[in-house]
Amino acid sequence: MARGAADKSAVSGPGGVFPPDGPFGDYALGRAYDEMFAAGGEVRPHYASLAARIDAAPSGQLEALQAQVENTFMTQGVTFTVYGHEDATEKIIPTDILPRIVPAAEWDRLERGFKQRLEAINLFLGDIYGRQQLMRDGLVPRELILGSPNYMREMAGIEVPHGAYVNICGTDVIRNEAGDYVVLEDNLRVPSGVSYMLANREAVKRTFPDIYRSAKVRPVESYPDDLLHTLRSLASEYQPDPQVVVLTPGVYNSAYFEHAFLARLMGTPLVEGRDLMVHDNVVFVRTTSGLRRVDVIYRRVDDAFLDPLAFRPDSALGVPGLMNAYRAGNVVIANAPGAGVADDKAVYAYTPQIIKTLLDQDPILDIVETFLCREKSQCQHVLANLDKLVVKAVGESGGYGMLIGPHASKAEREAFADKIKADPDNYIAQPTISLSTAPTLVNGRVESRHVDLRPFILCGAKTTLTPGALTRVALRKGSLVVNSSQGGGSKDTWVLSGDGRGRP
Amino acid sequence: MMLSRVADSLFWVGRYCERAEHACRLLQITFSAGLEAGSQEAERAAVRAMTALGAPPLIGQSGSIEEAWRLTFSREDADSVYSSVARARENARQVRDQITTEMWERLNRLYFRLRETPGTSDTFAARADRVFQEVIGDLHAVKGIVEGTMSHGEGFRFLSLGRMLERAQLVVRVLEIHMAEPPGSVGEHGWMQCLRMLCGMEPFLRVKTADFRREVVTDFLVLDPEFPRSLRFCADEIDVFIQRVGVGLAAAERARCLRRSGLLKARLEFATLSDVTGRNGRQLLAEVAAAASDLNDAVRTTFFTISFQGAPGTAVA
Repeated sequence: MARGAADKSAVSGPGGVFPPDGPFGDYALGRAYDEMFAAGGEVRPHYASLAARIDAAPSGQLEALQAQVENTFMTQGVTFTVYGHEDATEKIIPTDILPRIVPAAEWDRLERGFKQRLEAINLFLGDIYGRQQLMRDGLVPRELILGSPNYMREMAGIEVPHGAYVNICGTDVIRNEAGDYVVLEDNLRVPSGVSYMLANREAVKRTFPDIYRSAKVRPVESYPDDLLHTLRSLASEYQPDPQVVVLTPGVYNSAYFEHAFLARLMGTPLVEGRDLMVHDNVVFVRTTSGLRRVDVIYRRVDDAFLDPLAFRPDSALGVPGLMNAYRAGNVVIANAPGAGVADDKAVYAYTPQIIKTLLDQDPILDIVETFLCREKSQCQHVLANLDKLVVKAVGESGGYGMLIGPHASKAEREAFADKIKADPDNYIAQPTISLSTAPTLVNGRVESRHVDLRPFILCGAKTTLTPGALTRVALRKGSLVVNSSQGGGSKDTWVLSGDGRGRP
Repeated sequence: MMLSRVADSLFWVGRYCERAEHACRLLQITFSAGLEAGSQEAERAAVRAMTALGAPPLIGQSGSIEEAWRLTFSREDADSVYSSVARARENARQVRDQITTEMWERLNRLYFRLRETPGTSDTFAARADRVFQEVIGDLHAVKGIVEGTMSHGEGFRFLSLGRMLERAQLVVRVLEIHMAEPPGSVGEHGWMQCLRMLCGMEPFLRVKTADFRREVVTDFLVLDPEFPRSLRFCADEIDVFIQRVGVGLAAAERARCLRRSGLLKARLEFATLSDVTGRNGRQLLAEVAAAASDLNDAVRTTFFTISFQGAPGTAVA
């Protein structure tokens, strides 16, 4: 019944144009795949109840709900810190109340794909920090790995528990114009955003209780529990009751809220470097009842800052002697230092071969076609097609240091070409992909905005994928950049246990 | 298990909340004194309140409203109500994972209200009383929320310890100012205001009736075993909490804290009326002040700044 109503208002004629006075009057369907509407403007079945809800909302109601959620986030302190703003250091990440919906069949495929990918990546890391067979066989260039700033000699020959270098992985996937999910980036160091997945869910569940119930959305609230189990499994072979701590750079870090949030939900201490100390290669934490031994550190501090004795000597965030304790096998660090060498944007290009070679399987999820400027022929292709490609610096993240060819001016492209020629190893290029769009509330009106998807995969004694994700939204019209540091927002992501045609 | 850094922060949450509440109450006294314009006694009470805040006297001077506004909202002045609340919140933020959401939200809301509605000093006179009422009300609510939602474990005890230690020091300061004046100079009105500064009027009346002589009021504010802002009550509470923190440490490591606290408690428990009157009274206040500051130091070195000495579990005092 609800579905019929939505269809009627949403669709008008074969062109897929929505009536201008309806709720979708400002909704643009472009070249990109739209999550909610098929090309003709028909509502996809799993979005039917949301469409009906939007349709039935009295004027101003959605806007009021949106304001309510933002208010809740502010009082709860669901904030991230913006650097360089003296007066307002805490901001809420812009959140959109309209959920992004993923039907069960799509999720199944994603789940198998992510698990396969992480398994291969962990084997790959085990190889480059171990026998280095892949480099010997020429599958990946030796200089690409050993020359990477993220490669850590200190890790050579260390065995990590369960062979899992990456214990917490946040892989970014996007949907191309054909509607296929493709992997954009593996975040293997300290991926963040999982707290927004949980906070968004709490808020949106309350905003749309009726459709949330009827849609049979799979719950995400077990994530902290799964995370704790994963972390404990890293030391449980030799410690019956391992002490886990979350290591944060401190309250001024942009993701501090998340660190505290996870520590609280796991019931583990949230420590800073100054709370820990190493004695005789054993890590201790200072407590009001003296010093206590630490077995597993879930660190949210970058590799370079972990230990001033091993890495950056000016780091005040780390723990002197931590790497020695780690090498002595007295403490587990998750993710393992040096795991970042595998999420390098150039290594990314080799991941399909890595999966084929190490697992003897075809990759379930494709990657974006990637041109390596370090290869002469590919570099020429890139330089000749700068107006069609997105060029990224290998070592950068967060949307910095990139050129979006089609949106750049001629002068910008020329300047970037010079940079590529000067240091080709540092650049890769990919075709511009129009990320899929999803309905987003903009000034009280529903408009289409580009989105990506970041699920969180856990790997210890076993691999767990929470049925949910952070959907990031490019809030500026037409923008393809979803990073929160560049004006992106977030959405709740509903993974359905069926096809979404639940009874109303 | 409680991290030393966390205990330290909670201790200061307790301290700063108490400090903010106290400052509000003193400012309130000052403002109500202004209503009785021309009354010398009221003016002198206001001067005492301001002295207790460590600020220059306000009454009868141009710019006094600005001064009160500054003491409430100033972001630069470390002693302003805003600064105390901001520091309490900053400490709470550092240990967000250790406190309850209800507590955090209340404190956060108070912080944002002080931050976003300072207004200007021109309009302050008209709304000052309501501002103080609200802030005090919010801080009472924070206390109630702490009591009602936070587990009464180690963290709660450090927070309470900080609050009671701060309270003891604030009460000592108020009493010192009143007792420093020659006998008879404070007067009945002055002692009534002294009770109001410590939120003690009604409890006092119930025990001592409307007898506002110096020795009766000081006896009550120093030695009453049940009034929550008497020095004796503070010392009893401090001792309760100190005995129950860091119990995993060896007795020898906690000895300095326990001895200091026990001595203070006993001193106030067994004091007589003659100990609080005349010169003896000021002597006793000096002892309490010294004990409180030493205790603060002992707590810091015993629980907050631990280093490695020998086997794990050993703290250094």
